[in-house]
Amino acid sequence: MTTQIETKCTKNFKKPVSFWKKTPTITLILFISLILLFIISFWLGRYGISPAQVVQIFLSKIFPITPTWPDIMETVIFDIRLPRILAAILIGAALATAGASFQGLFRNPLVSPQILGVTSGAGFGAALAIVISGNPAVIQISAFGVALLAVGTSWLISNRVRGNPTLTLVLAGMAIGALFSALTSLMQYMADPEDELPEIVFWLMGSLNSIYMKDLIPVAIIIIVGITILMLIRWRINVLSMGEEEAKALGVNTTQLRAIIIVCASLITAAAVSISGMIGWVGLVMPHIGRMLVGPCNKKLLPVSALLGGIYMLIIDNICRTALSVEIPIGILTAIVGVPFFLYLIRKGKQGWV
Amino acid sequence: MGIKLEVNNAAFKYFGSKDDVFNEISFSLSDGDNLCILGPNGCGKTTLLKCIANLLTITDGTIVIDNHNIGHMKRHDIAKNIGYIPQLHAPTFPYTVLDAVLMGRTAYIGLMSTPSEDDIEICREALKQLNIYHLRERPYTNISGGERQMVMFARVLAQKTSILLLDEPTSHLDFGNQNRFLSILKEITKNGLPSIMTSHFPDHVFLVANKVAIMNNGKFLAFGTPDEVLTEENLYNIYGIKVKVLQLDSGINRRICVPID
Repeated sequence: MTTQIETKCTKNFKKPVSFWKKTPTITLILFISLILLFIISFWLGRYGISPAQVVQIFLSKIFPITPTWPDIMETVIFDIRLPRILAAILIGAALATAGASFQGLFRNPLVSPQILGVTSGAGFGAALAIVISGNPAVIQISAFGVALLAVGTSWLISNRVRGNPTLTLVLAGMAIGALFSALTSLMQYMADPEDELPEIVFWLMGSLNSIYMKDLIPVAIIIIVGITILMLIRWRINVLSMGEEEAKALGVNTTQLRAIIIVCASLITAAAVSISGMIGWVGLVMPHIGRMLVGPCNKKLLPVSALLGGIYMLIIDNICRTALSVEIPIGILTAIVGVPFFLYLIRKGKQGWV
Repeated sequence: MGIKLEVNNAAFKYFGSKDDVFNEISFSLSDGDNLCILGPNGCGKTTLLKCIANLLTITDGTIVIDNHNIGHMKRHDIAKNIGYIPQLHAPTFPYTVLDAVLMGRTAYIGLMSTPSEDDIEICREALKQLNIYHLRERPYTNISGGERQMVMFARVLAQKTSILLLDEPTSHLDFGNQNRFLSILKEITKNGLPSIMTSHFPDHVFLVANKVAIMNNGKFLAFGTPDEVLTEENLYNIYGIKVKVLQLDSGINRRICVPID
C-alpha cells in the first residue's frame, strides 16, 4: 500500500526524546531517592541522634549489639519517627495515586482526589467527633467513615441521574463537598472556642504529629491494598480516559472499571486524610510532575506519581518537624513549598505534557 | 461469502422520548461489502452505527453478528468483532501515537495486565500498513487532523475485528486526504473486512461502496447498489436540491454527482 496521509507541518517537527526508553531510569532514580530519604529522615528531628547511632539502633534489632545509647533514643526512633516517616510516604503515595487515577477517569488534569467530596466528608467527620467525643481513635474512624459516606452519596446520586456518568459524578461530588464543608463550618460555630475549635482548625490544616503504629497499621493496609489494585488496572485507565463511548467500543466494561477506580481511590484518600487531616495540593500536582517526567501513559505515570508523592510528603514533613521550634501544619507547607516549585516547572516544562 | 452482520427490524428511541430515532431497519452485510449510509443531518445515521456497536441498545429488533445476538454478548467480545471509529474524537492527554493505537488491543488484554510484546508488534504492523509508523513516538494530540484520523484507523485495525464502522470518516479531512483515506478503506474492505460508513458525499459512495442505503427520518428509503440507488430522483428526495448524475468515461469509468441549483 503506497497511499500516505501527510501534511506539510509535520515534516519539520523535531522528534521528541523517547519517553519509553527513559522511564525505567526515572523510576529507578525516584525509588533510590525515596530509600535514601527514608534513611536520612531518621536522624532529623528535635532529639539529636547521630547517623551512626541510627544505624546501630537498627542493626541491634537484627544482631545482638550491646546498647551504648539511652533507651529513649530507641523510643524516639521506633515509636515516634518510624510511624511518622512511614505515614508520610504512604499518605503521599496514596494521594498522588488517587489523584492520577481520578484525572484519568474524569479526563481532566485539574481534578484532585477530593473531587467526589472525600476530604470535605473527612473534615466534617473529624469535626463532629472532636465536638462529641475528642478521642483520637474516634476522630480517625469518624473522619474515615464520613469521607466514604460523602463519596457514596455522590455516587448514588449520579447513578440516579441519566446522562454522561462522569459529568453527573463531578456535579454530585461538588454538591456533596459543598454540603459537608458547610456542615464543618457549623461544627466550628458550635464548638467550644477554648479547646474544641482550635483542635478542629488544627485538624483541618493537617498534621502527622501524633501518629502511632497502632493507628497506622489499619490505614497502611487499606492504602497498600488500594494502591496495588489501582496499579494492576492502571493501563486500562488510559482507555477510559478516551471517553465513555470509545472505551466501550474498545471493549472496556466502563461501569465496572469506573467502580473499581472510585472505590480504590476514595478508600485510600479517606484512609490517608483520616490520620493526616486535610492535605491538599499533593494529589493534584504530583501527577503533573509525573507527566512531565514520563509522559501521560498511566502504565508509567501511576508508579512514578506514587513515588513522587511519597518523596514529596516526606520532604515536607521533615521540614514541618525540624524547621521551627513549633510544628508547622503540613497542609500549609505542602502548598507554600509546592506552588513556587510547580510554577517553575510549568514555565520550564514541555508544553502539552502537563 | 458468509453473512457477517444481520440487522433485523431494528428500532431505537432514547429513554423517555416518544419518537423513535429510527425503526424498521433491516439489512445484512457480507465479506467484502462496503455499505455507505447517506442521509441528511439528524436522520439517525450515527445513532444506527452506535446501536450496531452496542454503545446504545436497540429498543426493538435484533442485531446478529456471526450468529450471536449482540444484546447477549460481553463488551470485550463485541469489541473483538466490531470496530468503531467515532465521528469526533476529543483528545485529553497527549498519549504517543503507539500508546493510542495500543488501546485497540484492550479487548485482548486482561483487566489486570498491560500490553504484551505481541500486542505492541500488532500495533507496529498496523502503523506500517497505513504508512504512519514514523509518527509512533509523537504525541497524537500534536499531529494533523488527517494523521490523527489515520491513528484512529490504525487503532481499529489493531483491534482485529471482523466488521468496521466508520462515522463520517472523511468529515475532518482535506480534499486530498479524503480520497487517500477512501482508497485505503477500499483496499482494506476488499481484503475481506466489511465496513459500514456514513457520509454526506454521494461521490464517496461511487468511490468505495458496493452497497448504499439512503436514510431519512429514521428509515431506509432505498437500499441497493450505488448505480440503482443514487438516482437524480432519490438525491432530490433526500437533499431537496437538483443533482445531475453523470457517467465519467475516458478511462475513469465512474459516476459523479453534480448539484445544478
